Amino acid sequence: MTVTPAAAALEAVHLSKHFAPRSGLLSIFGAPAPVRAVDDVTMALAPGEVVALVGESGSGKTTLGRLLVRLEQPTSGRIVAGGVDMTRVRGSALKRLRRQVQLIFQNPYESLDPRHSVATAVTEPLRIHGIGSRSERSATARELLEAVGLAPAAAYLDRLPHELSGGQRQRVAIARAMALRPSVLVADEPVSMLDASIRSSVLNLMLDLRERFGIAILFVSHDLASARYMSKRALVMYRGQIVEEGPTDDVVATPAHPYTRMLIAASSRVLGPAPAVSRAADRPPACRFAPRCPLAQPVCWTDAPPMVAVAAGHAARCHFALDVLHGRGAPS
Amino acid sequence: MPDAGTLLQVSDFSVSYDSPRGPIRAVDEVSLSLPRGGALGIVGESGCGKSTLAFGLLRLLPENGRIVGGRVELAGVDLLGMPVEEFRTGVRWKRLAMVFQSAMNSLNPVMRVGTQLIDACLLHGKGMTRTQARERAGELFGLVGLTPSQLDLYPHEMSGGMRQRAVIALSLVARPDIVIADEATTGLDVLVQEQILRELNALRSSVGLSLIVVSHDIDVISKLCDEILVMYAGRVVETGRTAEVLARPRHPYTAALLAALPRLSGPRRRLITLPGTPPDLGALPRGCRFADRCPLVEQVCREVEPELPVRPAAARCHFEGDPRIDALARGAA
Repeated sequence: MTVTPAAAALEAVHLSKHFAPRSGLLSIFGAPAPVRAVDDVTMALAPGEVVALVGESGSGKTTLGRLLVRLEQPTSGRIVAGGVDMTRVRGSALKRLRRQVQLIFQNPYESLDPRHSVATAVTEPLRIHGIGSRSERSATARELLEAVGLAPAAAYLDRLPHELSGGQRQRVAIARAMALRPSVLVADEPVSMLDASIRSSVLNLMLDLRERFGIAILFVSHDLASARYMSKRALVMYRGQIVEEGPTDDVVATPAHPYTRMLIAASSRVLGPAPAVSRAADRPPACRFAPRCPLAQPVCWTDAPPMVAVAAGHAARCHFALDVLHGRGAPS
Repeated sequence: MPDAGTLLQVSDFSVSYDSPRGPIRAVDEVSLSLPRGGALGIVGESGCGKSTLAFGLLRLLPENGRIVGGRVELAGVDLLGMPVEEFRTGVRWKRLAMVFQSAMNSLNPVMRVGTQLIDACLLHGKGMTRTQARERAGELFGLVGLTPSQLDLYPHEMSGGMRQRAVIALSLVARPDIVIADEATTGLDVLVQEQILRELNALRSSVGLSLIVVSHDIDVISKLCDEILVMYAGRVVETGRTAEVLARPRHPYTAALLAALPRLSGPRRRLITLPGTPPDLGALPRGCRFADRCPLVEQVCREVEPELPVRPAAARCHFEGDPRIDALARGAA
């Protein structure tokens, strides 16, 4: 799907978030470089589109998700929702953004207040935004619970989180996120804490909600197989940068970045051969993946790789993207 | 069917927890056998009893847990009849060790990791000098992909993957015959997990270690284990060669579990979802424990609990081998 900026439900434009490093005794020898948790990320989510954001811990994928819903303030760059710049809005404008873009967290055990009933949890966003009367809100809560598969709703309304299974809690969290009829859901590892047999039902639920309400979803996950199931387009992040993006099927079948290739190999059911031993860096490499990369060449330590287009809509941040795509090693 | 190569033989092993509502049988007549140098995987979802089984074999159950039946033999020696003290000094860690999921957080935060490892070596190696212990600790670090210089790090200076490797090294101190790895790589990054699994696998040939891998993750078991045991509601519901079970499951639960997993290749079809939840162990149904969630359920399933046939590849199902189970695994609900 081609995304024109005006049509995007949610956009990040050259978005960066730098954190000051933890200062230690060594900081007296000069200020260490800030941690670039998110580094110049540009991406867009079309209305009703599911995009997967794949990466491991430390890749910056969670920080990117939090920036997009303005739980973190970006260091630079812009966030645009429905064509409106939301980067620095406050007060009522920020409240409007929150209506449009909702976040679902990884851990359903922590994202619900243990003292609030299911009814309170689901109606709270409506109350905060002053939507509907008390009885209208409670009718909406019933509809939402049934929409997320908690039926009959009456059996769940008065329950407390501890009286629910992990899967049921995540459904309540999704119902709560859907209460304001957002146009975008940012789902941060929404199923990684759930058992396999429950995972699939929550994934299916999100796809059904997209179908029914036309909601766009940024599906943040470390799992490429779930990403493939959920999305038509995928972004792969490594150390704050997008290192590969493209149609999910192409990214999975013909990866163009060595990191994606390693992730795919590790996601199979057989133990692969050990990759080349990673090299310690005596200075920061120009390509952040170089120390772990089996294909790294001298140029990777001196020149930062650009995003190299390898096919329509498919690009990777690697000097040797075309070689990786064709399954070759780097030229020596 | 213990044979010459069998190292660990577990027969009809049962564990019960006392609860306000009476005893709850979390592990119910589980049998397994592990050959020397072999690797057995135990897969199941939370609450199926797989961790209780692991802790039970080490006789490390919480206060309200009891072994209520069965036999456990390690190289022909009965482990359950053995006095607690003898088990503690002669078996636990020495012959049968365990790596827990949260173990990487159990390292002492104010002690260098190497000191903890060296102390453990001294404790187990009679007459070992500190220099020898340090050498041994360096060796153990080498076995798990760490370098001897990393012995000087404190736990907070290590990544999660490094800490987990250090804990695996600790479990190897007394040269055990068997390591039980309970979700040992769960929560680690994919590439780090892959590397640690590779190291665990290498220990089988380098030091002749046997592995019991307990995990909810079928891919982890598939990478390491020759044999697999699928648990559901305290029972073994299927057992066999891992590759065969994954390719052609014989129990509807195994089939549904496989069909619920998104895959990296093949057609993209809607994932199977299992309705309902596992039964309450305090109020088990009369018949098959999976009946309420099973797409193949018939009257007999509600009345008679199926047996697990005693053969190398078997499933506890009245319809074992039914072609509908295979279809279910392929995603045809």
